[in-house]
Amino acid sequence: MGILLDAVEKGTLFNVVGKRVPRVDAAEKATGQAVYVDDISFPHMLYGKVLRSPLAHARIKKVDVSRALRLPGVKVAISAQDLPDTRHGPFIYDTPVLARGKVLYVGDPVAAVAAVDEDTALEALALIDVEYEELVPVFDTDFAMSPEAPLLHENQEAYIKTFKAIQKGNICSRTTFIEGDVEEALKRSDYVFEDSFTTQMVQQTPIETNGTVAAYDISGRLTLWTSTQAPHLMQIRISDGLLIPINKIRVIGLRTGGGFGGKVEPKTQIIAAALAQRAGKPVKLVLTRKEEFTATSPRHSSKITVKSGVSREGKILARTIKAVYDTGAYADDGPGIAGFGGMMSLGPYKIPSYRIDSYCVYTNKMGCGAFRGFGNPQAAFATESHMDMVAERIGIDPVEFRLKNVLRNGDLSVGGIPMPSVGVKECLEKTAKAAGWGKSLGKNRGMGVACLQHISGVLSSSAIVRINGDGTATVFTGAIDIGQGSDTTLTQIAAEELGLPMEAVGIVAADTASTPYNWAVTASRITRTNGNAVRLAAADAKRQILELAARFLDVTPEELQIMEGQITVKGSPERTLKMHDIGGISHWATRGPIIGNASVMVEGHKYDPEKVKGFPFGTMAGFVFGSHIVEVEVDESTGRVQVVDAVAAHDVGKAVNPTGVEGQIQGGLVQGLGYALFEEIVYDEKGKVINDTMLDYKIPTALDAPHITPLIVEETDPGGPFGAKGVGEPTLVGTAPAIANAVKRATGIRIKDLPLSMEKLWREMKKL
Amino acid sequence: MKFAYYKAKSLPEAMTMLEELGDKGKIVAGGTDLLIGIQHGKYAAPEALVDISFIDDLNRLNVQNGDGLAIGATVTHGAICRALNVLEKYPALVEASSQLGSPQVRNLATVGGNICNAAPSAETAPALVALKSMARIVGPSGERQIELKDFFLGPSRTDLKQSEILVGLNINEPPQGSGNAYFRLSPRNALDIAIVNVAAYVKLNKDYTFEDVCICMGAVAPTPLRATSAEKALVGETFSEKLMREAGQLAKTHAVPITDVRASAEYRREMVAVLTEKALAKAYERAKLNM
Amino acid sequence: MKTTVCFFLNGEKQVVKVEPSRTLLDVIRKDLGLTGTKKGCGDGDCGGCTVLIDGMPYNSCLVLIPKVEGKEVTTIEGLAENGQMHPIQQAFVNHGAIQCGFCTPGMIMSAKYILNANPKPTEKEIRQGISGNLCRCTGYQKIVEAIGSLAGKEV
Repeated sequence: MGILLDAVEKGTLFNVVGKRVPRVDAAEKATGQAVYVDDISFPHMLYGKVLRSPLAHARIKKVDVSRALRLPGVKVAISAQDLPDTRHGPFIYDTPVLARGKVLYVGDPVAAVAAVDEDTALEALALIDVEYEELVPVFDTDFAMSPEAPLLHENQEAYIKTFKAIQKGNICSRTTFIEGDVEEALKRSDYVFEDSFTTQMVQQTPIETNGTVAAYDISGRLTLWTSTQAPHLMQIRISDGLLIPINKIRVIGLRTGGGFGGKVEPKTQIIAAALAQRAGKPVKLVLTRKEEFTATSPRHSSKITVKSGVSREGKILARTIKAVYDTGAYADDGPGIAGFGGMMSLGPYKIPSYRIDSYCVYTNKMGCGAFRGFGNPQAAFATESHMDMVAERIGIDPVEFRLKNVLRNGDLSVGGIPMPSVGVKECLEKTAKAAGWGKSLGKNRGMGVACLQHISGVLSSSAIVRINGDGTATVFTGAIDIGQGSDTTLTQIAAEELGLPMEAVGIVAADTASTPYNWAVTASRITRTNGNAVRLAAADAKRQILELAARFLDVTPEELQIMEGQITVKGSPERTLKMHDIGGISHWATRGPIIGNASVMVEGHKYDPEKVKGFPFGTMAGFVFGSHIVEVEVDESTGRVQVVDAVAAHDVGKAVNPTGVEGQIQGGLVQGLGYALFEEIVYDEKGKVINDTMLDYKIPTALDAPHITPLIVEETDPGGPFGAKGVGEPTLVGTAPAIANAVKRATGIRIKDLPLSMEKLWREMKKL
Repeated sequence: MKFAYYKAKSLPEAMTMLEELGDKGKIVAGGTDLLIGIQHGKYAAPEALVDISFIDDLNRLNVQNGDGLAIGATVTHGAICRALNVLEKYPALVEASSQLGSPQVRNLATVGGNICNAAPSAETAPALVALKSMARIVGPSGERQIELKDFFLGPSRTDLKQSEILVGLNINEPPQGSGNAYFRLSPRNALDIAIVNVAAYVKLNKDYTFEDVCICMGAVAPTPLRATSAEKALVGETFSEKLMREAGQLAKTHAVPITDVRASAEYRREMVAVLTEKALAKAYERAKLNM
Repeated sequence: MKTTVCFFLNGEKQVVKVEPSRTLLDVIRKDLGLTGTKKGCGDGDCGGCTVLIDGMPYNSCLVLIPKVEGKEVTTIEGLAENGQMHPIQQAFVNHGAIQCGFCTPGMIMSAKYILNANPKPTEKEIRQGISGNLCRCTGYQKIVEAIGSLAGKEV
């Protein structure tokens, strides 16, 4: 580690890390050879379909699947009464496989069928008799939190929880962070400003919908081929849901056509498994686009109030936050999201005193979950809009105001975790320079800025590196490449550590039968957290290679190095052994095959229980930073906003694959643009989603996306592999507030409620 | 989704098929709207589709100098966009066709289909009405022509009688001194549907006063709507920004829009004024260049 | 009632006997086993299923199978030759234009049409040409750069 760190610090050259290598999965995807779940089928495979609740809140009086079962071609029809009485979930075990006792949103799965073809399965759904008793629905968090509101989860005390949840009524979790005497600090402040914001529900909208093929064999072994971000997590949920031990569950993550958080928790997997258990044949269950928009786990809508105490010089002295995240029918990742959103809500600024209260609240909408940013996009929209509002009120330029308050290396996070590498200042300065901050713009044009922070290290991962008989290596990782590029990045990390060229390292990913545990592809954590596991596993293999080579070269292992697949004695380049020889020797002559392995856990920091309450996570690490500047043009007659230019800088630590980092920045920013301007899941008064197509749920097209200048800031992280941190989620976090701030500067109008739709802006402009 | 499918090779063959099928048959051309409508239950699944898109006569796009434009019903929007000689004289139509759906959809979706679906937000309807298109209809009792503005009866409802087929649209060549333009408002720059859309046609006198004006608005009423009071108010007048604004305000008084997930009625009403103003100004600018 | 349709798929003659209500997408994916063409929505709203028919891009989810009688259909599988990627495919790989890959086949088919119809497209023309292909990963820029890199080259 010491030598590597030195190399990082000195910026000495890497052989593979930091290179713009083409993705290892690109060619198969470019040619149509890549296999996604809907591309596979088996002889006699059945097709699954799910019957969903038409009501937002109702007691189930009766479910009768017998008529469906009598339809020719129908092989299985099940409801909750056919399944073990279980509930599962990441933090609060509140989610049944099929609705049990009550339905909690329009779209809640009530029954499922498997039939010889999709048409028959759909026909069968219509034959299932369900009797409901309607209950008063709860659509708004204010009502949900009031004493009059009916309880969605009447039994919530009894649910298993993975953390000490603070609950009350429909509040399924409340997280609090406190530091210093915030009331006193507010009193001391020259100015105190308070602003309130709301954000809307938005859906991940991967171009591939969720789907699974499940098969169950005579020995009770379950195999799933699935579109997922988390094969190992899926094993756990299936085990919890169907009471099958994990060793009998194999989850194979195929090529996954985008996730963005929407493929972490199960959507199709457990239902498909339950159908396959009874069918004795493989069952394919792929969601329609309509199901994707009505019954998955979108980003929470939120209501956030920010109060800041500021000195005359522009230093932020105190902040209070009250955030309410609407988690819908099931908690899903909500407790983590509300808690993490709260944790991020100071932004990348040093604020000595704060009190953050973040609530996660049940309502009768689909259960919300992870979506690129995990509570941070909501918090950042509120707090970064607020930053501009404060700057304007005290008469300081928004970039300057931010620079006065930015975090520095060694500062503590909310919750008190030391942050060794903080690149926010450099990000902000670089974006301001590249965008030409302060230059005069045309009529109806404006430039807006936002800064952000995020994390990239949490929980556990493991990895195996095998040295093959020909001296090549194969990495085994539980992390799945959902498009973010982990197959390539992890291959680079292993190749760098082993001293092998990229082509000499293969990768096997995301099959629970052959690859070691990884929690999930989430939290922007793969490069840093899995990368550490891979690097350490490669180092373990390398140690064994050198030990074996030392025996043949008659030196100590410390005197050896591996470069480009050659093992040489340092200082005596003529004394070499080829990796090929090591592979052969270890497989056929002595010692036995070399396998390196490693396990990692992000741990160490203990939160002060007086200051941090109800937070469902342990230590976090790999803090990352960024800054976005966008330029908008507003049509003053219609309120229509066009983002015409964008610059985004991200502190990613060592950029393992700069092309991949840029792709993340550009893609995240355009998702953020959709969040800012068009995207919103809209419910009617009965709790039904009314825009359930890709025509009416509008993600940006190529003509809506601006040209984006991505800038990489490498504030290397001593805890990351070769100094690397993550980049996945933060790329979206700054965009919406930057756009709102730009619109303010173009028009004088401050929109505090997302989305910043043209009609909303027009209404406000009309008032002027 | 299951139905019988008949590919008509000629108009008489299509007529015979439709007459034999009666209520059970439905005409399809591109099918971009029909297929999705059937899949989502917006339309009842027909027993049979009669595909008229292979009838050569209906596929023709004829632009003859002096003779006007004859658009076969199954000419695709893609074909309109690629026809440079259409752009020259009928820019409103090209502006409309080129914003419909996406490049892929435009290669399948037909002008006749866009008209016969009679969606209030139909992309090309305002442009075709503003250009004073005549609809050519063939039925069991022969051919008839009506003004396109009278073709629309309501959402998904048209003047077509049982077994009648819209075979095409004819537009007289816009005279010298005229110009036309189309504007639509939608959140995205592509793959979207109009919140409101407006086409304007103007013909100027030699003194640059308005001789003739035709304004058609979409998505603000059950059918494409002429802004007749605005048209009248402009005739004989000279262009000014103020006058255009007044015309927009008059146009607005005709609008009876709905509120839905895409926009509120109020916004639609106000935006139809804005788009009318923009379309008139653009049409006027083009007319001046064409004096 | 099933109907027989004869067409050319990536240069090979195909004769299928299927319900006429089936879409070209379903026939090429399910009946003929070419799964490179993707279904993103089934509504013509995403462009994931884009194929070329007689050289023009279409959403294959909207094309009833009888419509392709006698036509030449090209899918993503029809581009690579002799184990060598087509220049457009190679450009997508080289420029980092691919992330999850699900929009990629449709995107490349649109790119092929763009470059065939207009060998030197501007950035705006490229963006217009792919405006019917939604991508949720890349923000489009590297796709636009990949296509732009082929301006003036033989594709």
